[in-house]
Amino acid sequence: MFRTAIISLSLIFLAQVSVAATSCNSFIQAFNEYTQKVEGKIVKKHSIFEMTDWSRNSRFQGFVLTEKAPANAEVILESKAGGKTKAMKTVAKKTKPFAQDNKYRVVEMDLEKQLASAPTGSGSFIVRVLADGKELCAEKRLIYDDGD
Amino acid sequence: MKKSILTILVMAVLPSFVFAAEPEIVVTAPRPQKNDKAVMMKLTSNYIVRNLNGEQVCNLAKGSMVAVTAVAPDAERVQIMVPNGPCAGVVNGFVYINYLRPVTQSVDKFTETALVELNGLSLRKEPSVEDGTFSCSLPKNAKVNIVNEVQKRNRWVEIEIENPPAGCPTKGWVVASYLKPDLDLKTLPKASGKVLTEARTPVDCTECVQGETSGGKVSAASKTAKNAQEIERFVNAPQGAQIPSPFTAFAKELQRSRKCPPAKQSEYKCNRGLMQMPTDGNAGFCGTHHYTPDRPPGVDTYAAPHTACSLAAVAQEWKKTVCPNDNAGCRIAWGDISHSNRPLFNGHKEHTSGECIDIRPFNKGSFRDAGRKVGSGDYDRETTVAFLKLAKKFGGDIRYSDRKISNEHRDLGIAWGGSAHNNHMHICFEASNSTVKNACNNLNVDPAVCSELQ
Repeated sequence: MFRTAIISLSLIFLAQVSVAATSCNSFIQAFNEYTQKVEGKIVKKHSIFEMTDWSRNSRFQGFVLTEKAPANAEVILESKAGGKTKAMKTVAKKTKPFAQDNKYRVVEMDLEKQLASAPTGSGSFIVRVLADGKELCAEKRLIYDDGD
Repeated sequence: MKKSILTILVMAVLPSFVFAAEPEIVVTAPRPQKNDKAVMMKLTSNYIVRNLNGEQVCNLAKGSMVAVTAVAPDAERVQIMVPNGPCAGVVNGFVYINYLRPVTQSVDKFTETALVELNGLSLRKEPSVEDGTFSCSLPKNAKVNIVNEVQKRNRWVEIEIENPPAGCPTKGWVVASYLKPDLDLKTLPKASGKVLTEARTPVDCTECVQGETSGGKVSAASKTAKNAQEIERFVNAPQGAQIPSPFTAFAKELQRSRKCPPAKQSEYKCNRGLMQMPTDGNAGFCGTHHYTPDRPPGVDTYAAPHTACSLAAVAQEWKKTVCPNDNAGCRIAWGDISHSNRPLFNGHKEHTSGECIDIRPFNKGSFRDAGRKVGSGDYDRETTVAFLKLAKKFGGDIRYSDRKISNEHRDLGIAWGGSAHNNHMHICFEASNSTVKNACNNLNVDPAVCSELQ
């Protein structure tokens, strides 16, 4: 019985660790909307992808929550640019349906304002997804200057 | 002395006989406010001199000696004067200070001095960023003397450090673009006056030629003549023979330059000698994709005419022969070229002259408007290699950080760009490259592929 209890406790602990260690990719992704000429006409298109580092050549317009994310999920974006800039934190609790694909919900958050404002183009940002006060995942990415 | 003055006057007048006559423009030089003594500096690259509005005024060759007389309101550009050549007598010409180096004359040689611009600049044993070349990090504002120079994809200079930090040797190599002139701009008078924004002649974008003079006559103020005498004395000093004559070097550049095919001016926007590559939102020329467009739309899509020819040629051939499907991952996705009227923008140091473009690595599968790095799961190395070969075929100089591609395709001459270039290719199509000129001469736009360029 003691052995069973230890195994159960271990499994519970591992389950909690595995939830916290779950890649955010299953809950939240990045997106870009763009226009493309198709048979002479301009049409709207989009790309949804695993979030990337933030730089001039690798930026994105926003985040979308996937179907796996709970309905009450909230997203926290923390960023710290290089140098003596202060850390910034944004909490988003609202989402709206993604017009081009209703499987996703757009997180109402101004990424450009927070990430593009880094004056030195360096630093990092962390995205956390929470539900019912519990962190489902956290993912860190770089902010960097790839201009030449 | 008399011969020297006569030479200056002849050289100043000669361009107006050699090139097409333009309407006479009278420009009055501004009155200097503080220090009346010009600072002698040397141009570090071929340069299109512009007024404060960004309009082309004249051109100078690399190595030209100029007199710096005042600082522009933006504290980044300086007013220059040149005694002879195409810029002779120009009083509204400005150059970004980072393209100039002070030159001082000591007993037996000329010494170019500079300061380290960035904290932690890497000093290397040789002009390369390969492993094993690192020596130490230099602090910001460290004073250095430039003793040698080599042009690879970047311009490298060999420096002697006057007071090397602990652990640093007294000599080594650094990338020249991270040095700034050893000159306190606050000691210069401030340039002012309405005339400083006047273009010497209107820029006709049907003849956007790299290196062509704009001709014309300008009445010289006394300040110009005085600076001319100073430069002449400086250049004709015993060691003067080591400094190339600006006029001779510039004339040689003219011989190498070629005209671009005339554009349909009514359909193309043109500014500071650059032409706007057509875009409609993200939809670019010849089926390409323009990512992260700046505002207002199209402001970051300005290319030098010869570069525009090469880009169109590359995009057209790519679409016709490799990637006819715009929904495939092989679709060309490009970011910044140059700004319509700001040489420096978005933190770039090199997207100034309309000759360079940033292009994303290609992705496997369907086209995705997303950034990616070398090694990303969707990175398509094979297609990227095919594209680099095509760019090279049309005269592209490439900077990109994929070690495998660099090692396996040394014939492409790809410069290593460090971690900043593992998510995009930086490709330049320069006027000095004969292949680029040929691309321009041979370009036939296929309306079925590149309807935007008709």
